[in-house]
Amino acid sequence: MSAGPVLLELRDLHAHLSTRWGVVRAVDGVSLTVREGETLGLVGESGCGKTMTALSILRLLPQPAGRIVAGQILLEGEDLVPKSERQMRRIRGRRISMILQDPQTSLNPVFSVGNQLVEALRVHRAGPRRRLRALAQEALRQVRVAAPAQRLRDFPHQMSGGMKQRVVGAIAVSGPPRVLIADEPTTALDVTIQLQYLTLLEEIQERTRLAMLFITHDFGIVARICDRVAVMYAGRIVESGPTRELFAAPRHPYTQALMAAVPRMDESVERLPAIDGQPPALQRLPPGCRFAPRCRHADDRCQREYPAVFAVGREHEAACWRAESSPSR
Amino acid sequence: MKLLLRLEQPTSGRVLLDGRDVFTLDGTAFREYRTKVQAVFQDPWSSLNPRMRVRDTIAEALVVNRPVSAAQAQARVDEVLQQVGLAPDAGGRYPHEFSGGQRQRIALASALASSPELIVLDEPVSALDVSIRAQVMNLLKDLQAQQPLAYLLVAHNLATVRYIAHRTAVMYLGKIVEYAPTASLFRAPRHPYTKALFAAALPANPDAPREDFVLAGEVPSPIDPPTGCAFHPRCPFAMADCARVAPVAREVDAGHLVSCHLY
Repeated sequence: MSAGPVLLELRDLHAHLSTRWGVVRAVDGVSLTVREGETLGLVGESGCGKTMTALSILRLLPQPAGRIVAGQILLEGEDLVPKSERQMRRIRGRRISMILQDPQTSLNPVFSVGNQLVEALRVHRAGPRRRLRALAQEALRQVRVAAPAQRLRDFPHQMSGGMKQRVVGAIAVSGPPRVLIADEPTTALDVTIQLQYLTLLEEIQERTRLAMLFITHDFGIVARICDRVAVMYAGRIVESGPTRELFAAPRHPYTQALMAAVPRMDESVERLPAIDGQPPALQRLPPGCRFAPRCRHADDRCQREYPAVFAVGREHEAACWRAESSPSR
Repeated sequence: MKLLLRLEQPTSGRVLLDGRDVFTLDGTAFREYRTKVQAVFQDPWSSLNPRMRVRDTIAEALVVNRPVSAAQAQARVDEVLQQVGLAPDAGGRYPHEFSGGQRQRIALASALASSPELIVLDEPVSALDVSIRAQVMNLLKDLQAQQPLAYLLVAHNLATVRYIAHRTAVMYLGKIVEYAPTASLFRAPRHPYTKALFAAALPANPDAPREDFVLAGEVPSPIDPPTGCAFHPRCPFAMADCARVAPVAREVDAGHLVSCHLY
């Protein structure tokens, strides 16, 4: 899909969490952009800071532990970091919204689906209840829920996981937002339902041209719906680029190792090259490259100095010292 | 899977281990069965007792079913810890001191302790991080290469199945709809449900062909499954017979069984 102007931009964002075990640098200098009509995949393992990045954008970091310590979050050019909670409430849901992993916990079990949709609509809209009810019905139709009028009366427990996640989607896009953050929205769904849901998100994006930040650890999903990808490791983005190029020629050793370690559907492999060790604890980060302890190519410099970001192709960047010396093509 | 582990009772039918019905076993024979069949579950955060040292968790699997001396148990614990690639001092620590991948190694060590013939692996890597999965899958393969050990792998990820399993059975609403050597299944999936699963799996390749065979609808309730072939309401190839007659398994290729009226 052709991408328009930049709707969301993070500039050198740092977010810390104070814990009993010290300060966790959960987001440690993240910069990224998402354009209108574009999907950016944010890929990484659990604990690498993907979700914390998303929560920072919505200014929903866990309180009182979480704090944005530096950087900017530009939504259509407007910085969200200095906004008050009151101002943020007008922005969330209306201009930027989020779909979480587990539809079970996103919906309130004691209210009907219609009730929850109307509540979401009422935050940003005035109007008689009947009109909001009609809008809620329309919102369900938009996410391809059959017989929306009947479904409005249902409670979450009467619906399947896929159906509930559609309702969450309907609430999320009812704003309608310019930016949608989807944090592993299909992880809790069955495979056949996952594809239905991804197709639905694509459809909504085509219609509304919203910018989507799609958080996942699944390269299959990335290959399917993302225009560009950013790979995150231990609080930082280590590589980013257009999906096709990143898959064809990953430049950061972490991206390379990760792609090689995933078993493939389409070929039979005798033995996978596993990545030894595990990601570092975010409160005890090594001084140099964070992947260095697990990297086959690491040398002294990697241990000492965090690598600069090098352009390795068109819109393709990698934070690796090895990318400095070897041009991409 | 729960039936196989004798955690549930069957309504009908039997589960045979070495030719003996496991639901008739009692006393010594039942304890013997418990040592022969072990399980590793999906979530290594809930499958280990947080208040027991790793050594004790592993030894427990050993001593409950067999008379073993403390020294013998200790020796076996050290042995299995080494087999799963953990340091010998791991035994003295508690589960919370380990990462997910390491915990899954501990769960595997306690399954191995009683020298089982069969280990049921229920989604053994799906809760693990991508970079850790390959480590654990390779370990599973190594262990099987080192000793006579059968695995029953329960997984939804086709790539995982392809990597680990020699033979594969595809289930839909409580029935096996296709059953074949893994290579044969991946070369030519036959049952429409299997085909849909393959189409829905997303290969890590942006240029992969999108054979969009998106299934409509959702899995019906197993309390009141559809008549005939349980898949017929969602099947794009459904014929009149499919709603009436349940298909029987037919061999379409060497060892490749399909339950579908198309074949």
